[in-house]
Amino acid sequence: MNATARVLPFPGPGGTAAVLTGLGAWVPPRVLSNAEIASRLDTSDEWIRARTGIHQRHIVDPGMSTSDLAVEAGQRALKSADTDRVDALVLATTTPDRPCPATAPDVAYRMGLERCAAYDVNAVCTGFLYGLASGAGLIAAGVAEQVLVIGADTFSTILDPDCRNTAAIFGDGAGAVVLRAGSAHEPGALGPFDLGSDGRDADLIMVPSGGSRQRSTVTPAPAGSEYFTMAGKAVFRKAIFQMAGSAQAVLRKAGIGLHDVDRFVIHQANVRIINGVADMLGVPVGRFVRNIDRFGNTAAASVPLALTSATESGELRAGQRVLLGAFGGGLTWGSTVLRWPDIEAM
Amino acid sequence: MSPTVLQRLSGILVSYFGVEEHEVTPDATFASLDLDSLAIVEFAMVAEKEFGVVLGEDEVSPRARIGDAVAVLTAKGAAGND
Repeated sequence: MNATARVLPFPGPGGTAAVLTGLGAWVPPRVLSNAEIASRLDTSDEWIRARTGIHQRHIVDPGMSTSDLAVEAGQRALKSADTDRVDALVLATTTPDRPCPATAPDVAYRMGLERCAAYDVNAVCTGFLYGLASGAGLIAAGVAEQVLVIGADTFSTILDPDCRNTAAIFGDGAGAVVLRAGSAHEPGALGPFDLGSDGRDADLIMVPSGGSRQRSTVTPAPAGSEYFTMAGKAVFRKAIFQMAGSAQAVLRKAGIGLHDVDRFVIHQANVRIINGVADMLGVPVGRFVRNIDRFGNTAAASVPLALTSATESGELRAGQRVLLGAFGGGLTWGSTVLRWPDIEAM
Repeated sequence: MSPTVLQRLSGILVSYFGVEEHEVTPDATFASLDLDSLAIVEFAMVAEKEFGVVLGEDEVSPRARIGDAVAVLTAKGAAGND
């Protein structure tokens, strides 16, 4: 990270801020316990808890897909914002209903948001942060006055059933926020953002087959290559260093320090990664929101799901300064800050 | 009793590098723990904060053993009950 990085005003000259006005989340009803995973794979409840901090996760039942979760979370966010109209819907997901077309238009249609702009963003576990920045950009550019940003993933549908590491980590879920045009001085105004990527390490987190690289070979995909893979140790390390670095970068842009942040809501990847980020930043881990014990790693849904949990529990209150951060496949990472608005999560 | 240099080094590898505690033995190389050259730079950064000791680029490499790193850190004055 460049110590002499230019401090950019946010929003830019004449720009309009994106203000968070609604929040909602939804997880499928089926709970998958550690014991259930341990009954078919070589692992144990104790092993999973000690290494990941996860006690259980929710997964979809057969026939349920990412769009179903996205619709539920989106409806809750609209209700929370007390609105039934948006100009654009941005869906962050790595597990779309189908490879083509994007899932967002179907979600918009089923929510009664007909004819609004709708598209998917894929930045894996950073997807929600990229989605927020995309929504804020639509507002700043005058393309939209109100945007629904949803993070939804069903990683249970791409996991290798025989891999104990990924099976224990991921859960399914969705979270959503409503953004509207407003002033940078209002509670809920997003920004600045720090976003980045490093494609040199694209292979660390991937689904090897199913895309053009494999399909253009015209040979059948190797058995098992349709499943999600992750290089555990390298991802663990990079998640800690990149999320800590991105948090520091966004705070520099905002012209504030770590002590100005009341709550850190970062991607719920693994409780040891969250603890590592806190240690690296020198911030007490009690200022980090953690709900990974109940939901596991829900990919693009994890940040809005954690925001919803923390708002409902009272851990997150109006007026607090909040830092949002994430890291994911790509590699990608992102952070932003906001003053928490007076909203009720649904 | 204060932790040894090896225990403190092990703590760094477990907390920040996703290594399992039982994998950290004096004979294990950094490479065998999946630390590549970039990871070594990050390791040196954290070790400097933890031990107050600067590790040169030629002093720790992916091929180095954990025991070698403990020796270098100790020779440079890293505190521990070794």
